[in-house]
Amino acid sequence: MVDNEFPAAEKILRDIESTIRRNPSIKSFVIVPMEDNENRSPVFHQEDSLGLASWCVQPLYVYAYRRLLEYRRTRHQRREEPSTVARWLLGALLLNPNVTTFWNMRRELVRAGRLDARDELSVTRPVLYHTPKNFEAFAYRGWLMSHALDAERNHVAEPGVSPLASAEVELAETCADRYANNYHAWSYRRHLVALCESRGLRHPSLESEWRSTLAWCRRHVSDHSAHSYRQFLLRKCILAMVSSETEMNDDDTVRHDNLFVYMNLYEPNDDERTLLERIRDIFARRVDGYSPTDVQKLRCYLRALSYWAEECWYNDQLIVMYDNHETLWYHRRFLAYLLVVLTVMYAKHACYREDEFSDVQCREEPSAAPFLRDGPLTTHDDLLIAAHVMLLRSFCTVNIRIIQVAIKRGPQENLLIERFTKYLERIGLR
Amino acid sequence: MTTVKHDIELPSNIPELLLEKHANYLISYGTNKDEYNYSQTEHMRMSGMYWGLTALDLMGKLEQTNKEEVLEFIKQCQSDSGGISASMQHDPHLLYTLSAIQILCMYDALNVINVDKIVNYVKERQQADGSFAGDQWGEVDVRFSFCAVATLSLLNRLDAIDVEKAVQFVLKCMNFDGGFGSKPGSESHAGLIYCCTGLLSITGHLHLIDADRLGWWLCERQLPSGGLNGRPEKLPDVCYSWWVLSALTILGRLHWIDKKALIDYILTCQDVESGGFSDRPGDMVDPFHTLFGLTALSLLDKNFSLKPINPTYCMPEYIIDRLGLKPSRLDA
Repeated sequence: MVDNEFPAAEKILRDIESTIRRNPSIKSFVIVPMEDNENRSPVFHQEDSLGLASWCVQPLYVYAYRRLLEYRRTRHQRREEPSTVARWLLGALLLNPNVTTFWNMRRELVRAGRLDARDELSVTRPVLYHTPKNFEAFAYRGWLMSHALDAERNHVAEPGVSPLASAEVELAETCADRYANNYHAWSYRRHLVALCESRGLRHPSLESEWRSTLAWCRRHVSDHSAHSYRQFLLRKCILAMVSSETEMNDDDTVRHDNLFVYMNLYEPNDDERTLLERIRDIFARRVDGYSPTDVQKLRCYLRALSYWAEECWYNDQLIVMYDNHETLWYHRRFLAYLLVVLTVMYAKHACYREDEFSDVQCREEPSAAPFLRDGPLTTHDDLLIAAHVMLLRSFCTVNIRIIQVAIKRGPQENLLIERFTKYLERIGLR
Repeated sequence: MTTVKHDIELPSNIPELLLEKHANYLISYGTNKDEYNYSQTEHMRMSGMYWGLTALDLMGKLEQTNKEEVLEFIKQCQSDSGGISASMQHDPHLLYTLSAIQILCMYDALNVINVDKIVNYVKERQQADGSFAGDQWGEVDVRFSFCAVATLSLLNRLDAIDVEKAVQFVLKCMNFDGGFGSKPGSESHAGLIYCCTGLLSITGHLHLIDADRLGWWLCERQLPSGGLNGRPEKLPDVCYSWWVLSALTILGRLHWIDKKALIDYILTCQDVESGGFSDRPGDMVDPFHTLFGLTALSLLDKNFSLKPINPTYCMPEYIIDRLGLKPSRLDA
């Protein structure tokens, strides 16, 4: 009965599946607006793109949907080849990826060994090109990835490097490119980073993510979701740097130099400049008289802070460069908050503590006021506390400068500035 | 240089609230049998029914619905595992389990399903860290925490899960801006903020929120058009009128936003011919936005002919009273 209603359906579904399976590089899927031309297949393939003629979308989806529900209704009496079911599922999910049950059916086929987890990643990849913010598709990939990484471990040429995970990061980025403020794409990327970390992978790494998303965010200054991801990374980078047993391999000397430039922005007095020079010398291992543990700790914490300074430096630039971007001001609030939290935490414990990195620990808003109230720093001050305070003071100096530039831009930006300065007041940075 | 504008402009003419049209739109929505449309949306049918029925109840039209048909449908959607699916032949999920329980509470008909099995299904979704997976496949999200806690509290069976741990997980999703994301470390989002404040309201843990900080962030969602967005740099959308307002109401800070401007925005999102609300003026209407347009208006102004809505459960207040539930709220 069902078969007669759209006789071409099975053939079209077969074409779609075999095109995707024969060309694992297919990344994109689009519906091409066109009328029925009975002499021509509605399935198109060019380079890494798959296309489907718009005229067949409705009948094809209805066909696949009916077959799948009918199969579920009668599966206790009637067997169906798993490959047939998988083909219906692929057709239905390409056209409507919101149906959780259909993803679950693919999960069942993977679990039963009927579908391969790694193949699944490439076979279902075009779905997210078509619907780049689809929650169900990301959830399915997250589930697949644990299985796929297990399988991949036995086959990769270089241990610690995962081509699969790198391809997933690339996919998350494509989705972010195709849909602004893509909540699920950036959530998935967080999930991937955590997964790679838990598997001890060297690549993708925090550092590679830090580099690539910095460039991305500079091109997308209105993407609040991406900036939220940067906030997640920034914390992770800082924490990884200070909690590693051995000195981490981090030779980004530009970033380190910029930290000292940033610390110097508030016009320190003579004593403070001496202090800053001393910190710099110890960092470069140019002085004796400090224990190796002290030197190592200082180097770790300064490198950790250099991530904050780098992020803040770019934020300064972007606010000055682009008008009216709420995201940039929100991100600056976070940077203000994080620096205050780090300073308060370090002053309290002489270290950062992972449990205090969680925001809920700061239900009471932290305050920088005590650190800014005191007079100038002296050469007797603790070097790392001094480093935090110098950053706080430089941050305040830069705030004044960029507000002076931005305030001339009119009421919309003034509202953003007003909210930002109110926030500074709340955390004692005014 | 040009700037991106994440807002819209309202027309000068703001329509009245067209209750009769909305009721007709929702009643006829269920009878539309276009197969393509149906198969596109059947995977969320249970929630669709909850949206439509709640909206109709708010307008005093619940008796115009086919109660027996709905109850029979829900009964058929309970699976052997105890969970409820969006429709027959679909898999059970906490999202649709909650929608079904909300409908049954509205109809005062919990007896049509096996409550013990539901409780067990929900209980089995709780993970070691206190979070909840939506179904047997393990995807975790604070939305599912809310579904679990709301479902059990409506059944008066909260004791079946570790509430303390559920609360701890929600708190881990709190961000520096006072908001909450879907998982620890995720971006704040007004819909998820509703889920988290709702959960803390049901379990009596609202004191763990910094209400001023969160209230401030929520108020920043109001745009010059009067409409609310759910995150920075997003367009306004009627459904956020609900997620933001319900959270503000629970926090005792509803008066922090410009009510008049928001009412105008919501009224402009009505389809003045066919009835129903859309996300933004001129877009296609649907039952989801129709419910959240009406619930927001119910919170904003008692003078609309709408029954009061409970901000925690998104159900008519009289039903929450009937069940003897007292979800907590903060004072202004």
